[in-house]
Amino acid sequence: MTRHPLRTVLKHVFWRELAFAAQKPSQWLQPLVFFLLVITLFPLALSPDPGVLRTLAPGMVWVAALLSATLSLEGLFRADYDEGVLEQWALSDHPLWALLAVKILVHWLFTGLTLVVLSPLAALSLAVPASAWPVLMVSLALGSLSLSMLGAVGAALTLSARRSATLLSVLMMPLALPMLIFGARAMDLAILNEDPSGALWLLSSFCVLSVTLSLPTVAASIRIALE
Amino acid sequence: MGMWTWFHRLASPPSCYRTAGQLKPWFWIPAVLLLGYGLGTGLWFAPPDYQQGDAYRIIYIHAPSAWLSLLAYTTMAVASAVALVWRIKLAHALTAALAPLGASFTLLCLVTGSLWGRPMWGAYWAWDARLTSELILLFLYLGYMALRAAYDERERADRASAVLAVVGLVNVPVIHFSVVWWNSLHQGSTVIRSGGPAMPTSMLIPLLACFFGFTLLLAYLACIRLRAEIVLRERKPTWLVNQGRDHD
Amino acid sequence: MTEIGAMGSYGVYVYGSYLLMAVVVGLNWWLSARRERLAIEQAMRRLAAHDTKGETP
Repeated sequence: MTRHPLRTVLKHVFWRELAFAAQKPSQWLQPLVFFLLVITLFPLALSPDPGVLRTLAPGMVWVAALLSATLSLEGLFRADYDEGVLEQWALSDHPLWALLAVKILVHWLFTGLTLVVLSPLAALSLAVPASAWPVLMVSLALGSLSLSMLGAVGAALTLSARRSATLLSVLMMPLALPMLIFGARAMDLAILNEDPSGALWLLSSFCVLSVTLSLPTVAASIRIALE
Repeated sequence: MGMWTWFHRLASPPSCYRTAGQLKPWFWIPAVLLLGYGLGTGLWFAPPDYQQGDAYRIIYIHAPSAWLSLLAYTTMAVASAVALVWRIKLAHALTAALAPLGASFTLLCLVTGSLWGRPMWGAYWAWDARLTSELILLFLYLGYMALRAAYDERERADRASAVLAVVGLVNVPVIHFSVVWWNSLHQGSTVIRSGGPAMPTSMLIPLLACFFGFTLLLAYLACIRLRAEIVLRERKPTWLVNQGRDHD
Repeated sequence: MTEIGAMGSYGVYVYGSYLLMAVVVGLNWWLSARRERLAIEQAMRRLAAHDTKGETP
């Protein structure tokens, strides 16, 4: 890469990622379908009773979101790693973490934000009152962003390892636990018509923490994978 | 300067190998003595607890295991950080050595916690903050070992798992906090009190002996495994021929 | 001193824990020692192969 200002390069990366996502919609559509599928499984396996579903909805939505996220993160770096693009990025003069940040952000737009948009559907099917939907969507937005960041670290660490279907999930789940707890709690409070702000604050702090710590870690992990 | 040359010499694989071998008896002999006293007293000579009768005796294994599980993981993460920053291969060897040991003690802690739970509150498992945190720690260990196993090249495995160990340790306080928070929200009927009010000295002294004894035991086991890991990482360990093989 | 039989129904859990501890420690000791032994054997074999090859790459 010739010496371009950082802003130009970042914009270029942004549009590149956007174009790739638009060209291969199955990459991000499938995890969304998976999310809806899992949400469908729960009432079938448990009970169609709205009371039961409403009580269990926070947990079900968050577990489904977590599973869907780990699926979508598998292929985050794979293509660029195989084609040597990551190597170019690492060798360029621009900060690797910034380039990766844009990449992860676009990935989140297509897998996390879309999940947030779909979540009212899931909420509807699980008898969650509409009054709780805003909190649901905000918490999912924050949570999915944390997941994308933490998952990116995991994806980078498993790049040059032997492919395994569940390795990324196994690595990510313990790290994503706080997000799961805070997010589910916020949704729970919203359903009960209580004040969810405490849980939401905790969730936001966790989100900020995970973004700040994950970005340099992803860069370091990518460099390790490239060595 | 003298301190630095000493450290530098220690950081060479042959001398670390030799030192670990020399340290072994210094670890296992006091460990056997302390554990003999601690566990023996804990099992037979300490008085039964006022509230829990004899079931509390499990604490002599459960509490030190919990301590070891955390100690091992912290050491792994610190060693990983050292290995990544200063590129010291020996630190990677130490991390690799500690992982299965730490995981074993985490498992031991969970099972003894479960066995303690049965006579105490009637159930083999309860989702209280401590046990749940310990379970998550076990998954952190398993994740670490799984990542390590997924790599064919040892050097790559070392570096990737080192990052994971550091990430894990940074997350442990956050995870623990969230679990404690979660548990406090759903305060059910199971409130676990370990040992109840302040332990009398007749119970406390053997417990401390167990803590020290188990720590020394971990150090001893780590020495054995560390030596294996050092040898596995050497491309041409000609120095190995000159070492008499140390026997336990 | 607590008699061995005097622990009553708790005896199973207490002795079970102690036994489990012994198994865990013993297993770890045995596996670690075995790993060290195998590592040394493997290293010796590698060194011997280098010597017989003459030229080290």
